[in-house]
Amino acid sequence: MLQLNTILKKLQDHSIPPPAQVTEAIHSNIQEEKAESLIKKEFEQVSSLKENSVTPPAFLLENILREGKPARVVSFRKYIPRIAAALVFMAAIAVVIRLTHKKNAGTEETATVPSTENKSLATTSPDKKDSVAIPMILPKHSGSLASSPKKKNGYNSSSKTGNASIDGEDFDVHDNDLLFSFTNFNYNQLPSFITNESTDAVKVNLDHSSSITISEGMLGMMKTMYQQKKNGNPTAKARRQRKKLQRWKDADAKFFDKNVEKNPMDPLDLAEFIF
Amino acid sequence: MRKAFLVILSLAFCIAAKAQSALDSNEFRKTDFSITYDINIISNKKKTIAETYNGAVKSVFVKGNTVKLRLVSLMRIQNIYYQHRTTDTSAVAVIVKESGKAKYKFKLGKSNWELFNAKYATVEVKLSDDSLVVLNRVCKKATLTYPDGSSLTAYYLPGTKNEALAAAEPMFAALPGIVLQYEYHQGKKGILYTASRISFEPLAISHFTIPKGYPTKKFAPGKTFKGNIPEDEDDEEED
Repeated sequence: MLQLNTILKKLQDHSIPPPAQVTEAIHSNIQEEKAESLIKKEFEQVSSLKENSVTPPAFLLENILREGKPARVVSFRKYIPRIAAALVFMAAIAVVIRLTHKKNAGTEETATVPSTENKSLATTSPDKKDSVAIPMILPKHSGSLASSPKKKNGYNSSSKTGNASIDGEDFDVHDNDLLFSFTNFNYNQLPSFITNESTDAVKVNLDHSSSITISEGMLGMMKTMYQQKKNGNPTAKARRQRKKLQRWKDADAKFFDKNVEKNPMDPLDLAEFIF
Repeated sequence: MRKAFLVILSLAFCIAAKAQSALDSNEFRKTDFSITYDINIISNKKKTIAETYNGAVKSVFVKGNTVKLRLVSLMRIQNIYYQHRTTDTSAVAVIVKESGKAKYKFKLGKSNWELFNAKYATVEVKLSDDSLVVLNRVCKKATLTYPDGSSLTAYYLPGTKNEALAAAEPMFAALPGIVLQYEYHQGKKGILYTASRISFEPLAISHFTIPKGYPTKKFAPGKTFKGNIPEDEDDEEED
């Protein structure tokens, strides 16, 4: 043993360092061995915990299962027809609104009646020498309408076919169409039977042999049709009323003008239409 | 004394009534006359399309064999010019729509006029002793029932039948006098025509002149047109 120590001491002076690669390999082997032993040790410790298992509460399990459902896959392609339909629908609405707006504008444009021609409504109508020209009766907030450049007449002067009068006020009648004429007064020249508060029926004189009555109900509808907002434009209710009257006029034409056997003078045919 | 006075008064009233009746019947038969009827719609609802005809006026103008029926309402003005003839001619009646942008006329020969009024071809008449005074004239009640079951109540002036007017208004042709009030009911709703004016003033011939310039449409019974009724190409307007 003493001899061995002596040999080793002698050899100390002749020591050669090992190659660097060998050193590193040895070092890494040592490290791995350490890590393995550490993991083994930890595993053994965790394994010992198996004996101390605790059952989790039921609600946790339910939550886990609920949340664990597969995620819904949303495909964009699936919605393409719906989106296209919605776009078409919106475009259609836009067109309808635009057309309606144009139509309203057209109706409003018929408000001014500048005609000066004086034909008779009836074939044997005498000249009205005792008639009084319609006074300018300005309704509330009509000032802005009077100067509005939009208000132009929608029918030409040649459409005037006669006169009608109510309580001495004269009105132009266009195309012998009383409903059209009475629903297209200029907003700043509304006659007194529209502007006054009376709801009684009014008598309309057409010529020496004809006079009709505007009933209370009809007068009420006409007054509604001429209601204006503060800015001078017709109210929504007024616009609805105008549309309703137009619908009625169309319905009348459809019933009596498209079917040659229907006669408005016949009480049975008239009842079939109005009731 | 009192009884005698009452008897004399009654006799005088009867004679006056007879005289008036005789005068009326003579006038209705021989001279020009016109009757204006006010049209009243009977309905609880006051904001319906019926209001466009409520307050309208229907007039009849008679001059010899020529009759003009005229409707003036807010909705439309329409005339029927009728020529009472016994033979079939090209046009015994001309229907003219004189209002609105789409004015037109139909010309009806005798056969088409009968077609136009086919629903009044047969009628069951029930005369009643009930009476009603209209424009100071005592009218008798009659109930007219047509084949489709519809029924009209009419009050007529006895002994005043006018052949031309009866032919122009076939719905009353079976009555022995001119009607001064009539009404048609559908449930609680109805239309009441009441004479508001009778005139025996002479009527100018121009009153019965058919207006020119309106397109003549083809009378095609039984057809309902979606668009405009086609024009009658065979028609040539007379000068």
